[in-house]
Amino acid sequence: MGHDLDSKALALLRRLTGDPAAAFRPEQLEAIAALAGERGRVLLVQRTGWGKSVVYFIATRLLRDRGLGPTLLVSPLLALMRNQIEAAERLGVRAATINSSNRDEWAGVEEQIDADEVDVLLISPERLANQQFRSEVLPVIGRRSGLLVIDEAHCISDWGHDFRPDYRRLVRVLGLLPAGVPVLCCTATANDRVLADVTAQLGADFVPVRGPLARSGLRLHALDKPSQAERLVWLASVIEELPGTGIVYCLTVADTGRVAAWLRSQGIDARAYSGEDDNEYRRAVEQDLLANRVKVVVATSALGMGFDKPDLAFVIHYQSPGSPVAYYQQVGRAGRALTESWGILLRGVEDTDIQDYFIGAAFPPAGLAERTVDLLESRAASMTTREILAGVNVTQGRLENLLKVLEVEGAVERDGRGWLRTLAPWSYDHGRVTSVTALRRAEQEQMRGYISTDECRMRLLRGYLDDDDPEPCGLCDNCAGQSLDRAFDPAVVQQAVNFLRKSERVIEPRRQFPDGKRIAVDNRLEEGRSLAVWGDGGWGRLVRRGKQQDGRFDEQIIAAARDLIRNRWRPDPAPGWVAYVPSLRRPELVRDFAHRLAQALGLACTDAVVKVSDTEPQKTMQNSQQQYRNIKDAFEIAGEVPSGPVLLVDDMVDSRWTLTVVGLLLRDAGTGPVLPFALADTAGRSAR
Amino acid sequence: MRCDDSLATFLLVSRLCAEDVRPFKASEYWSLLDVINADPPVDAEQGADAVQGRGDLLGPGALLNKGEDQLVRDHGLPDDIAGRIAGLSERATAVAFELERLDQSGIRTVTVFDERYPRQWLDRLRAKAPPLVHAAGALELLDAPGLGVVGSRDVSHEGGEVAKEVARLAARRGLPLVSGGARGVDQLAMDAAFEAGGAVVGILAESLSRKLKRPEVRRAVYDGGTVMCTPYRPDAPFSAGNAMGRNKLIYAQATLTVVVASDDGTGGTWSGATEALKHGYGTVAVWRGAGEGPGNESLQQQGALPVSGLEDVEALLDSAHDPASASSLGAMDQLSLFTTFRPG
Ligand SMILES: [Zn+2]
Repeated sequence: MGHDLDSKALALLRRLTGDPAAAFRPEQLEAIAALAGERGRVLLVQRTGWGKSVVYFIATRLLRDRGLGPTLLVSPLLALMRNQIEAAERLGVRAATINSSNRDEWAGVEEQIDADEVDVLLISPERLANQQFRSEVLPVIGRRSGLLVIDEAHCISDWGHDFRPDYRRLVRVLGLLPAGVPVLCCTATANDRVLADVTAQLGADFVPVRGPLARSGLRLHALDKPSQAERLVWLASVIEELPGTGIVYCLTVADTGRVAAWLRSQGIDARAYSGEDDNEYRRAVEQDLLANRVKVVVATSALGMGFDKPDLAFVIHYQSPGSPVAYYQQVGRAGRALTESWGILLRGVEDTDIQDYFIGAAFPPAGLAERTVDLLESRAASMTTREILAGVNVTQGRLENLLKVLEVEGAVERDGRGWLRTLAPWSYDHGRVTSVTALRRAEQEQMRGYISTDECRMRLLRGYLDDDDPEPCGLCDNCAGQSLDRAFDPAVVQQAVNFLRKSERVIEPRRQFPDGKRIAVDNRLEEGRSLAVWGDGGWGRLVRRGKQQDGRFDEQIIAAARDLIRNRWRPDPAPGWVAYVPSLRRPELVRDFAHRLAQALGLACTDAVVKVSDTEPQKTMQNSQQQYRNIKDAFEIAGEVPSGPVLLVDDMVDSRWTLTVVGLLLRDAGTGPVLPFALADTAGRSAR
Repeated sequence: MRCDDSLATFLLVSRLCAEDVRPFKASEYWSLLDVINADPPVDAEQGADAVQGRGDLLGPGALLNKGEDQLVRDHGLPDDIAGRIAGLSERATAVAFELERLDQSGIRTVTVFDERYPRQWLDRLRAKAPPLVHAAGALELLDAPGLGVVGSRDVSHEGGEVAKEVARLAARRGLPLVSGGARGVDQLAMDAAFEAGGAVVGILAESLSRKLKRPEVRRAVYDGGTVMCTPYRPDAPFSAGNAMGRNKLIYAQATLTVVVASDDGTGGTWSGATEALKHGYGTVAVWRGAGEGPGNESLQQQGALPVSGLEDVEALLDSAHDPASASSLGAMDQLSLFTTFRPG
């Protein structure tokens, strides 16, 4: 029986690969036998590119031949599976996928499943939260249980950095599956702590099958480069010299755009890549990188899991990730099939701030979660997110994240277009938050240690990952005694400084009130500009100093603002006069700035806008309804105002409600178009 | 993590995700357990191995992962039964996802193999006990003694007042009110218990999901003193058969059940009460006084205890012994208790 299965499996492998001499890795055959022979449960721990798809496609074929239902494969990386699916067709394994982008094909796929014409159904974990999918597709696919495959199974663990709430649902489903339904969980994680957590959650029924994670040829370097301008210059100069193609990782979306633009300005073919780009663009960039048609992709961690390019020559970090696990996963993408590859970590002055922000944002605050659950409970009926926002001071984005987490925790559920408190008891898990946060702090400390060490970096990194390797690698900067640091022409550094200072942002006019009513076109703001990102490397730092230390904005900022307005923005229609947003708390700061800027522009500045009531700082208001309510009656127009286009000046812009409300008052008082201008954009950072 | 016996029970009897194969009715389920524990097994050697493996009796988990042929061979089952078991087991994945969904919205599914299954149902109903129940809210109330109130949907004003008075009495004595959640007597009694701050056990014959959508029911569940349950699908529509099947659960759940008003010789209240009297499912009292129904006198003649004031109800409660303290058995003990009691 066992021998019979082995030979059948081998024949299938040869058909799959088209290689008549192909042979299994021992772990592959072990896993196939456990799944198809014993209908057991397997946890497969293998590095990317090892060939896990061989296991589930061959197991699927064998199980289907024995009359089992179709395989259900859950993976966050469906887009990357196209090639594998084509290969599977050689085994007569017919694959179908159901995802958010092919809703009109669902009915057809359902019919195919019903007619038993699908051997593997691939879905993303998010599908499992979709009501239509659950009520219409799952009962059909699950009516004849087959193999269940959970790809990237480390997403189960919130100790790791790829935790996905929808994976918790899968763990619960596994607990409700009786023995005899074969289950395969795959992960490439290298971290023992994550693995231990995954194993504990999956339960003792799972047979672990683990292969070696060793790699060679990777040269690890680390450099402390606080200044962004110097880092940019360094990047351009090193990337030009490195052979092959690679990835530069940044911590924020804004940085990917900026770094890619800088590299292009220096003649390097670079693309930005983040979770904010649409799928089509991302697939195209991935394909270009795979085919070495682009020198470097500047990406957030969105370019990650499952991206498999054995000849990736270098992975450079523009900023330091918060943990050794995250770092190892990303740097480990370099050079799996090369004899020499590079993994270079740069540490910037902003890294800690950004890491702290992510650590703080990882969990919804207890008070917020509790207020939201209480609100839904007191209503005891379905509420839309808009209704919830009126009662809870939180941004819409954070509320949506919070609801998703609460949904997976069983506190709330979707109900048509709204949300409903479930009937299950719930309380905030303080213990989990405390322990995960403490772990993140320890990891942050480890990354500092990684950068400052003068011992072998590979050995240190592996030690952090509980993978003790006694031999120094002989390749890293410390082992080899080579540094990639270099001196630069001050003129080139100045060029980078100037580049960073041209990082203005567009202020998009708001088109509707928080209650959804339209703002009439004639009452809207025009498109505006902010000079910098708050606290950022260009002007952001000097703006912050002006507001927080000096109480007055520096002459350089006036000049930069004038330069932006006159030479780059060139608003049409051009403003004929200047107004500003007054403050009761600090009456001089913006008034002084507006008058000086007006003078620099050769325009008159009026004090026509007055503040009639004190308000809470707008930055403490978390969503549109709260922000609008906070300031809608706080301003008035005193006396006559000039007609014609006006430049409306404020120091900070975040929600845009203050500018919008004052703009409305000015239009009501008979002015022309209102052009908003702010020194810094303080809108929240975005990670993916 | 649930045991395979519990999951297998769910697979065999649940009507969720079942289209092609007919799930087992309660009576069929119990007969099946009886057959697989019959002596001697058809294939003596293999059967003995299986029993030794369990150490004791076979639960339904032993039927999983076996093809039809093996079920026939190992357990001496008829072909059609073996076919149904194999067919129903195939939907394990669909059922697991559906169970998870219910669980997440706070509707727990409890089978006879789970700790939370109400013991007195098994003690009193034996082979008529439902193998599983869906329940939301304070499940522990299902293991507590309670005071039942039943009666017709179209109740007189006086009858309604009696139902409310009895419900308030339950609240005063700290007893959960046990009722069916239907219009009329059930609803009046339940509302009165809520208002008096008493606990409520609702055993529904239809549409648990819809009942749980009502804000006042949700609030009662959030407050903690309420459980709503059904042995049928959470979205089951009304059926007379289900209503009858449910009535026996009320009698089995309550220490004492007061029939407020019944028709004579017809209707759900009449059938439920006479069935309970005949089989001894629980203690049946019948209201004799203003608001009574045309069948109340006949019920008294058939053995229901007459009550014509709250003091009568109190006296009966004082003399009733507490069934929850009578036994505390594990799931396999319950099964063995059952298998020594062979149905007809
Ligand atoms: Zn080294």
